Amino acid sequence: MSTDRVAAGSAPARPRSRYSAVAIVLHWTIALGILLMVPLGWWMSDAVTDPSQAARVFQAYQLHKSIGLSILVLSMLRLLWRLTHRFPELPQHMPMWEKAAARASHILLYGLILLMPLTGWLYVSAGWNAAMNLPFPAPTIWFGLFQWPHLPGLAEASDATRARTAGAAITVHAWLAWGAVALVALHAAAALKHHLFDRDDVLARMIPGLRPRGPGPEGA
Amino acid sequence: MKRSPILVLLTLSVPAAAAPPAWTVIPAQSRVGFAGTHAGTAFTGSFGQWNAAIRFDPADLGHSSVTVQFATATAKTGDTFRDSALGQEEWFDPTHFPRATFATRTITAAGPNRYVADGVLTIKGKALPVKLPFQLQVNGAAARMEGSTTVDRIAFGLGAKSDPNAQWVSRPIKLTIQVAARR
Repeated sequence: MSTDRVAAGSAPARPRSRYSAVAIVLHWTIALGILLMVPLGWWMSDAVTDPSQAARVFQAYQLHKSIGLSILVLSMLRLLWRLTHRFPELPQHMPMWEKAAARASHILLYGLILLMPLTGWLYVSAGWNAAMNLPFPAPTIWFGLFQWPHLPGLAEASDATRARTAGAAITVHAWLAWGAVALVALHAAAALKHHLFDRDDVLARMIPGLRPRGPGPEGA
Repeated sequence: MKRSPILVLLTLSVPAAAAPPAWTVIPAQSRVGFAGTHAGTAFTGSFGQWNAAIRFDPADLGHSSVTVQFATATAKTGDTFRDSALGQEEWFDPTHFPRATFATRTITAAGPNRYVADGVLTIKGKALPVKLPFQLQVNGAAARMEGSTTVDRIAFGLGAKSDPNAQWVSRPIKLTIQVAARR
């Protein structure tokens, strides 16, 4: 038993049976963020033109920006972690096309969690209210604590440049929101399919505290 | 206190014999504040740095005058969002307009210890007439003044492009001036 553990800890080629604690915490924190952000973003981008909602819209935008920039930092950490640490392999039973689809959707998910906040940051940096087409240089105060810098060069740009940049950024941001809904639904459905129909440990290895099914290296 | 060319002109234009006494502001007991609402919440703020040249004699209002200069970069509300916004081009734009000024043209009596200063308020290069009613108690060499008036921020180009319909920030902004001074 003890030799087994030593071997597991010292053999770099051996895949993990579970995601690491860091990967699990980052995964679920970002997942919770996405679940909050999509409805919040849709509500506030509708309500922004309604003067009677100004107080709530103001709070919503500050919250959305604070969560979004946090997701950006966490996503960069997650990508860095993924590139520098070992992670569990896909189950043997999966056909090639499923493996390819899983890899593609994960690459898209990484792209999404980075591009959503980046396009949002670009939008607020342009300081232009795209819904009402007027300059709107609203500062970003991270959870009310400190001012988050905006991307350089845009504050001094011409109105036309700022309007164009904001328009493009928010259009992509909105499309990515639809992409997020589709991709997260696919991701969750695939995880449930693995758990309920394939009865493998794909979902369990990302759930804190759950031990992988079947005889794995630590499950024996 | 640095004297602006306007101040020197004002001082020179008043005959020495008739000049009302000069008053020195006691900053610790004085405040120039502003108040309004932002996103449904009332806010108050004040200018950290300002100076005033006051020549005032209740018995010689014709030769009395007040000129105030505000450092626009020092307008603070105590809220990170608002204070950051106030420093933007869209609001006080201190880079291009480091100073706002108020200069009286006439001061008239309006009752016991009550006066109305009729002056010009200049913010972001826009000079507009403003009436400032105030109360003044002179106690020997000490004086205490309190006044307030309300201005339309849009008229001065404050948030005029980003919030022309006052969806976020109220158009009326109340200015409150409390000054303690001594001769």
